[in-house]
Amino acid sequence: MIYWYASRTLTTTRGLFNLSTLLSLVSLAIGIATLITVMALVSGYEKALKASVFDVVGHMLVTKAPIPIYNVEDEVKNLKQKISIQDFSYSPYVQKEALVVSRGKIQGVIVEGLDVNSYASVSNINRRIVSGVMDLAKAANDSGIYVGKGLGEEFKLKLNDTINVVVPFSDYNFGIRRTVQPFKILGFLDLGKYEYNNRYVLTEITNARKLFEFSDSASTGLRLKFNDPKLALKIQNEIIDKNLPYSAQTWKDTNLSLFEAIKIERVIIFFILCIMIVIGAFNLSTGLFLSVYKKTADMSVLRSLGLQARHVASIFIIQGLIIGVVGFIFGIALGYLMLQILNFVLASGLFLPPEVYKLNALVLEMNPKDLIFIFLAAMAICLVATISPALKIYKLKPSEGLRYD
Amino acid sequence: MTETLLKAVGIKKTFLRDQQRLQILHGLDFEIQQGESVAIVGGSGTGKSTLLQILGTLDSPTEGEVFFKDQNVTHWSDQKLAEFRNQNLGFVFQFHHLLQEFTALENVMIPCLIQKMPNGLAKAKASYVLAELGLKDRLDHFPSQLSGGEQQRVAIARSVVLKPALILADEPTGNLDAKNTKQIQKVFLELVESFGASVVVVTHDRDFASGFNRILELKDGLWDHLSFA
Repeated sequence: MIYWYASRTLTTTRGLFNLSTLLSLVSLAIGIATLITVMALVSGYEKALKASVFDVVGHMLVTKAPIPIYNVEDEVKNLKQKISIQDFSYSPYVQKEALVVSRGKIQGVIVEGLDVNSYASVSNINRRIVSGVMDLAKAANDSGIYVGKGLGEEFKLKLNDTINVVVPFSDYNFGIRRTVQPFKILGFLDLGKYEYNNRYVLTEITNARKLFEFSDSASTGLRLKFNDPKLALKIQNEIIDKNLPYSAQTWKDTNLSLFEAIKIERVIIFFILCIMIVIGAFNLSTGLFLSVYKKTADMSVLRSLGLQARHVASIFIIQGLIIGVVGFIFGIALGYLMLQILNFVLASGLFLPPEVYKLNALVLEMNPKDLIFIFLAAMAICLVATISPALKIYKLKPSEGLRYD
Repeated sequence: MTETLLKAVGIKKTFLRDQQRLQILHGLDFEIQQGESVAIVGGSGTGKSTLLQILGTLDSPTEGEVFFKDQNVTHWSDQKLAEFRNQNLGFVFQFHHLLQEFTALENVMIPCLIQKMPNGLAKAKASYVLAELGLKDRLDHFPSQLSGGEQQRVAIARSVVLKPALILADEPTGNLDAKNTKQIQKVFLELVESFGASVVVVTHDRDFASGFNRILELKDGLWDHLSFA
């Protein structure tokens, strides 16, 4: 009966309250849509960042720095005996800093050498190629190299061009010396992040060993991939807690400050933009107050027919919550529309300079977890907004609305 | 032998208006028997409506007590009073006070739904009462689509749908023409006969009051004159 009355008086086409219902709905929907959009932006940014990190870095890097790893199989066996997770893929890699020299320009880069047989089990670098063909076996035979697209653009490089990679060595007997090795460009990579695209070159592991003067079986470390990226954090803790002779760097560590900043920003943005919902809730409260005055006689009649004061008050709470739910649904629809428009605009690349935002592409996505939090926040705010009007009607004597007839 | 249905003893009511105490009722006693019809007459501002609201537990007296079948209802909780009103009282107001967003049928169903009666049964009861009052063809009409007389008959139907022991009517013909006033008077008197309800009607219309068992006149918050029809 209470829900029936509450919903009927909201949906009728007559009266001032319905106009105010509409205004409350619109203001709530705008607030919720804005919150959804901004949270989707943060989620999209985080997702793009994670995807880039997973594809390029993998889940975890294990090294014995500064000593290289010589026998991969023995090290993996040893590691598996001491950690709780046995099911993971691994691949050795060589990674060091070097200089790329081409057409009179010099740029510091990270040179990474991947194992042709196992790299695909720990990394999705294959899907990052934007021109050329990913073929590490060919890279091994032809001294081939893959270059980040930012670096390629800066050096105006084309497929099959040759670049020189220079590695400086500090030698106890002879001071500083260098090795220079020419590489043929077999492809360009879009690694998702501006820093990666401008500072990353990739080759086969034997090329890298030769370049950095590693012995035939030596690797900088092992790249590990688990069934769930979060397991990497767990294994890292185990390595630290058990004082194992390894150094572990997870996907989170590689961009720790950025991931932490996103986490804090997410919370701050959520609370700041909740203020927009609060403003919408003020409209809701005002509408309900108007309704209290307009419907006083109705409330008195309902009391005379046998409805309790708390039930009459709950009519206004239910109305507030109905408006909240409908506002949330409209907010999702409006937010979805805004996301589509923003995704279209962002796809043009005009509004996302990669050197500022560190990402080359961003897709805004609604996160179900965010939607749940936004829904709960909207409901809580709407509930608070209904309390004052509901209390007002609760305290009213049944005769109040009939007195001056 | 008739039984006293409702009794009010020493009813006083004072309002605070513009920081001044305004006494409306000065210690009234009132009693109505089962199946009796009483009309309370008096000019504007004499406290008729206030007394009716106190008798119907919609307002509380500043002093005095109200008894229903020997039970003192004056200090009952809101929950108990709500149940009491739903089960024992029926109200009719001058401006009928139908809920504008609901049809005639729905308006009459509301008292039934408040006591959690199944929807189908509530609908059947409401339809029956409306048909009895000549509104069979108006069930799905909204109040704004009904004439003044029809609206008041819907309000009467709403007040009697649960067959209350006491019907309290505040100027039920205040906005009606002579023809409709006669009809409403007839309806009230038939209700008393059909299921033995007691009726208290507040009115300034002495012709309308003349059809009731007893007429009480209120003047400046006190009984002025008693007469029996």
